Amino acid sequence: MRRSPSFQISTKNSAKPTTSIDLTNHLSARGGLFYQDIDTGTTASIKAKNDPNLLAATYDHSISADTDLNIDLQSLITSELNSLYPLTLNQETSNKSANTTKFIDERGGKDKHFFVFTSAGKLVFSQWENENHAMGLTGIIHTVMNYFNINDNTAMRQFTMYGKDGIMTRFVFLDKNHIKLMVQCNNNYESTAQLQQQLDLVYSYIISSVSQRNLNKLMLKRSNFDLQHYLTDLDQQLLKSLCESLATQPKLTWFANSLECLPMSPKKRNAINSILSTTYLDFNISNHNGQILYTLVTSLDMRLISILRPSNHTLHTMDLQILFEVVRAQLTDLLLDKVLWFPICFQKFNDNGFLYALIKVLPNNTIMMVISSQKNAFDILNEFVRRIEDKMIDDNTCNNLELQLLDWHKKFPYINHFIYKMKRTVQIYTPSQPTNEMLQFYYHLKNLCEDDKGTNLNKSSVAMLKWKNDATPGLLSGVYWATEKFELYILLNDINLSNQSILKSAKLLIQHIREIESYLFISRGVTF
Amino acid sequence: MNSNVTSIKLVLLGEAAVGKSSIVLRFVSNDFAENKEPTIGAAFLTQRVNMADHTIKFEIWDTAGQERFASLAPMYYRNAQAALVVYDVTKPQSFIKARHWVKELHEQASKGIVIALVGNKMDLLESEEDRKVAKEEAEKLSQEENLLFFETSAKTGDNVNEVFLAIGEKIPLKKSDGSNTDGLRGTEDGRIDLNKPDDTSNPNSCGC
Repeated sequence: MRRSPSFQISTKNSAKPTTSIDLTNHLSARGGLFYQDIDTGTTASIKAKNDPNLLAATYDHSISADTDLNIDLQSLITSELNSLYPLTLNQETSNKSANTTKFIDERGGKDKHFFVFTSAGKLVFSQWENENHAMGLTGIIHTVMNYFNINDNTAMRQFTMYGKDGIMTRFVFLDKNHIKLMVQCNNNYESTAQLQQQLDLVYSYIISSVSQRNLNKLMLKRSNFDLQHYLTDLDQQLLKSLCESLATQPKLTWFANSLECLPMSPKKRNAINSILSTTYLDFNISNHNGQILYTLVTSLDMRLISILRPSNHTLHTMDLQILFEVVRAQLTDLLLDKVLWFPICFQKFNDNGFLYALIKVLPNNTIMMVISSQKNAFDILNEFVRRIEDKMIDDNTCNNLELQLLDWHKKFPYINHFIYKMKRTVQIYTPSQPTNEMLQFYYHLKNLCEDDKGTNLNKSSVAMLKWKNDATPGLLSGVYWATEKFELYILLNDINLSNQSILKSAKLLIQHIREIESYLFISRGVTF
Repeated sequence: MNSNVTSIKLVLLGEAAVGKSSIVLRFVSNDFAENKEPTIGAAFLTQRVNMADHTIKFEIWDTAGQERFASLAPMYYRNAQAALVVYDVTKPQSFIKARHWVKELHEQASKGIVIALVGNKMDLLESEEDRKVAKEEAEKLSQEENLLFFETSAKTGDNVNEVFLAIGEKIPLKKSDGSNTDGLRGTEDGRIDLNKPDDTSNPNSCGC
């Protein structure tokens, strides 16, 4: 199998998730309604299993009548999913039929697939190329989700299936107003909470272009509203690329639920801060207060340089992550000296209305992002940015902003890679972007210290793991250290270090980071 | 050095994927990008063009064709002196949309706005059969509505500069002394003078 776990480790989490819902038990517990014998509904469904469309129809029908409810849901879903999308196939069986090869192609090297559908069960987005198959699957899932909702008033969070060869597939759900999201996941290192958070990111992305108020209006008017065709090509394209990168190239900022800062000398950061604040003050004197809500300066790879914000408001990390994704998708345009101006709904900030964003790349390779609540504010904001630009061009300290930090490898020879998160400011620092494999290790470590809702088990915890790595020769060990102030993830080169010396290295690293904190993080930003 | 600079605010309108951004890219950078990302919201950029004894500075609003951004369109064309209404010669639907834009502009935009109707993607016409919007039909609309009319290809660059030059010729030269008639408080370099008294931008101020 392609995606067998590359590390061997025995932890309670990786072997079997603790949150799986056993559908069979759940159903049989309902007693009278559920019989063990197979009735006509089930037979019909099983016959129809090669045709997903027919199946969804059959199943809808059978659930409509109470007496037909006696279906073993899990076996139904399992058999249907296997026929739609054989999870357990290995190389030999995949050659057997043309159909199965097609399904394998559909996986396209991903171990995650995202689906979005409306509360009426209409498909909005899927990462499967064959839309009919996706519709069939979402039809079933939609019915199952509703079943739990109606009968128990519980939201189904996930269920797990094991293929014949023991490969685990999880389906994780998020039920939002009018929209349901699902991810089908073949890896074992991301927890349910983490997958749900990714679904929330996808949801926020949809809201960022539609807004919750509009969505409510559309769906309340007609619950079977076709959201898929309401979303534009642009929306679909952005959704697709977001889900693609969630599945294949997850960003560190998503993993750590935080933002990354550009390491800079405090002198340079202060220079930019003061340009922002003096320009803003000039504007206030000219009676244009209230037009500028937030101003962000980032590097071209979306690492924060400075923030100007009202003292009583902060922006939610996820809102900014979404803004950064939108900007990233338009970077080619921006580099052609275009100034972008577009509406965006920040779901965590205010999901009812739109804010307006002006985005411009400046000659010193920074991106200016100015957010306003007024859609006619472009001219004012553009002038604001132009004044900042002039001042930055005049000021030599505003060039070559990134600070190359001293070679920490020399200081910490055993440390292969690390991520440090400052919890108060939700910012992270890492010396280099981790590879996908490194991220998997970090996920592993983190999951040891979290419950299934994603909250830390203890106020502070330390986890240490050693992996036998199939992919690369040699061994790896890792440390995760979380306190109320920070989270630290470390991968070490050497497995033969004693626990004491590992912890000692970690402590030294923390000390070192604290010393250079003002270089690595934005502690307050500029407020007004 | 040319001191006679006229600023022209120009807006591009039209259905999604007809090639508005590509026309701008051809005009500004003489370049073309296959499979360009759709524009989000609108993109603003400027381009200077020297004509005879003066310079025209085009301030271009390249708007997104997506319907969900349509409510923002008035903001872009409200003060515009020129508009390019673009359609795709192989997509009849885009021509219908173009008619709508022309109508809206005549009703809502400033009176003297110069509108150019532009049929783009001429490079896709290998034979006349590929054409789905007749030239005569577009010409007829142009005469009725007093539009400039061009058929262009942003991909090959055919006729693109001509559109902008024609607009530049048709717009009367203005002395750039800030007395623009379009309500914008422009200064010589096309910037907004924030220190100028302004009675419209701040309706909420109490004036005391």
